[in-house]
Amino acid sequence: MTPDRLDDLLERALETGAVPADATDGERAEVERMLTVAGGLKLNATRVSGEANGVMPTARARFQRHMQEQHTPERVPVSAPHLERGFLGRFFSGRMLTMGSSVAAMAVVAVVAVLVLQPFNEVETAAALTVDDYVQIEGVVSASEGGVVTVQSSEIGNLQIALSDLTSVTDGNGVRGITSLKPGDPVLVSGVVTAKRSIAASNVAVAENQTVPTPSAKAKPPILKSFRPGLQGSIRLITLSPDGKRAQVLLVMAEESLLVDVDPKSMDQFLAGSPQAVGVLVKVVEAPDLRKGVFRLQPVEQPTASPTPRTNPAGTPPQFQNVKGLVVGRALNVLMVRTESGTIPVVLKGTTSIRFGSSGLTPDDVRNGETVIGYEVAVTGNPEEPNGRRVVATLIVIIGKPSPAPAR
Amino acid sequence: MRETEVDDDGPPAKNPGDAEALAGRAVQRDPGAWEQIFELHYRNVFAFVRYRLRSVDEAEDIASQAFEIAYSRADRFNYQGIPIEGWLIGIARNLVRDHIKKLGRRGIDDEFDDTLELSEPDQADAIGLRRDLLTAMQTLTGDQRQVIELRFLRDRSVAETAVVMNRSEDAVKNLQRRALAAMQRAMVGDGYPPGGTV
Repeated sequence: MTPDRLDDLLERALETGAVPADATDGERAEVERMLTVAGGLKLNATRVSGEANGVMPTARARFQRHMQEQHTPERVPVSAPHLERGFLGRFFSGRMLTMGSSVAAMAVVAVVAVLVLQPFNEVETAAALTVDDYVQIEGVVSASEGGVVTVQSSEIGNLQIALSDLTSVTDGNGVRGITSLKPGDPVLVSGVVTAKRSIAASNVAVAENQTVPTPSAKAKPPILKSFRPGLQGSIRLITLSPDGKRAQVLLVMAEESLLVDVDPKSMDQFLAGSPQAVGVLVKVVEAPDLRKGVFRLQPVEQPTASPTPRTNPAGTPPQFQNVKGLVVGRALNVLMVRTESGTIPVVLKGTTSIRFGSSGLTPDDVRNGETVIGYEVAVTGNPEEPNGRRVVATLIVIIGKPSPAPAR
Repeated sequence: MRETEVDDDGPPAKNPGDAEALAGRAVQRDPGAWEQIFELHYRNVFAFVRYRLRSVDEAEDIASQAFEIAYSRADRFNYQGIPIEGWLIGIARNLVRDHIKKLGRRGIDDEFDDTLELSEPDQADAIGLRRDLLTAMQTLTGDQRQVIELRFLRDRSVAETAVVMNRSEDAVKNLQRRALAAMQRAMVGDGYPPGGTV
């Protein structure tokens, strides 16, 4: 046991969350003691990071307003034609706002700001998780302490999940308290990556009345570089970059796991059909217009048997609530979505990831007042309240306007 | 934790030319540049404040004020290799001090430290840092504490930490292990000496 070797073992353990297999018993004991201390420090950092993520939309909107107020627009003595204001334009028409609606306006600005502002950090790492990416991941709770739960994914190891007032936790029976998560709970988590192995959760779905042993971490999955005919597997993780230019999934097969870079446009099309992507059995396909190492996903219809067991083989896996339909109205940050089972209010929050798919819309459109009324959307999220109909969206895909009905 | 050890170091610039160009645009109050600066640095400024105050809302308010003041005074910023984050954190630090002074004058001293140099225990209380971790951190040398803050509280990589500390990556890994080992020994109460080595 030399200092240099311990330095190396510790760094590898911090990177992966597990003591390297080549450590001796003595080295393992030493590294595990240090990991305990590092874990305590990271718990605090994760909590603060989650808080920062939670306040970012409001703070961003406030800063934008400050910048706008600081700019004194040059007065131009030209009468412009009166333009019909868009939704947000009408909403923000200065003096008509009351204090209450100002607060509501901030919430809308926060949603829009999430759409519009792109993070500057373009640092790519080899890890599956990149800071600021939206993520859906499945795992098992292994520890819970002070608003942060540790979720073990068999494919990528331990993750720190920060829970906050913005986090919605549900199971098959409805809404749960954020302190109700306990070791052994199989969970589906969505949120935003705030640090290398930390996620600020927006939604957590728990398998109902099921607990399973914490899975052990396997080796870090490699990235699929070359097309393999017939490759198909179950999605265990998706990540979407906030600028819409990167998408990645972790596919689990019988013998291996692979990270797959997915063409973002085709990813949006896929999510339009399956907004809760985790758990879906897919086939990897290639296309001549994609660059090497980037693929498309194709859902596998009516699988006769899943090639690999899910995290929770004994019962129903954790699931978000999916909503698909036509937006028929909007009040502030709540969309009224008409579905086959009635009209469902969908709540957009600052943490909601919005994909524009092939709708033709852009973040600028939304900023300039587009309400998305008349567009079809696919949503995944959690119920807001027990027995309530409102759904807090973690991901919404704007599909597009429906085709006109054929003339008789 | 001495503020000067870590407060004035922004993330290492990947390209100093880019950082200088961004700073130049910031001085001109280019909104696009400031949006980038906000995305780059808000979390760290918030964390800096949050480690010193108990309230999330007040931390958010003060971090936001720091950006508003920086934007309003952008033309005074003189970029000569000084990271913008350092400037922002300097403003935030002053705001925190003013905030604490005001509370002290109002007789509110149970929530915040009432000294200008915030002490470890008060920072720990502010973020709920476990007492045993706090006590253990007090046994570390300055370099060791800096490594701990950069690596575990600010989530810097080994390479970034090495740049900030002007050390080799191997030296950072070594400091990191010695710091964690020292903290662990202090936590189990074996009388490990301050700043001890392994």
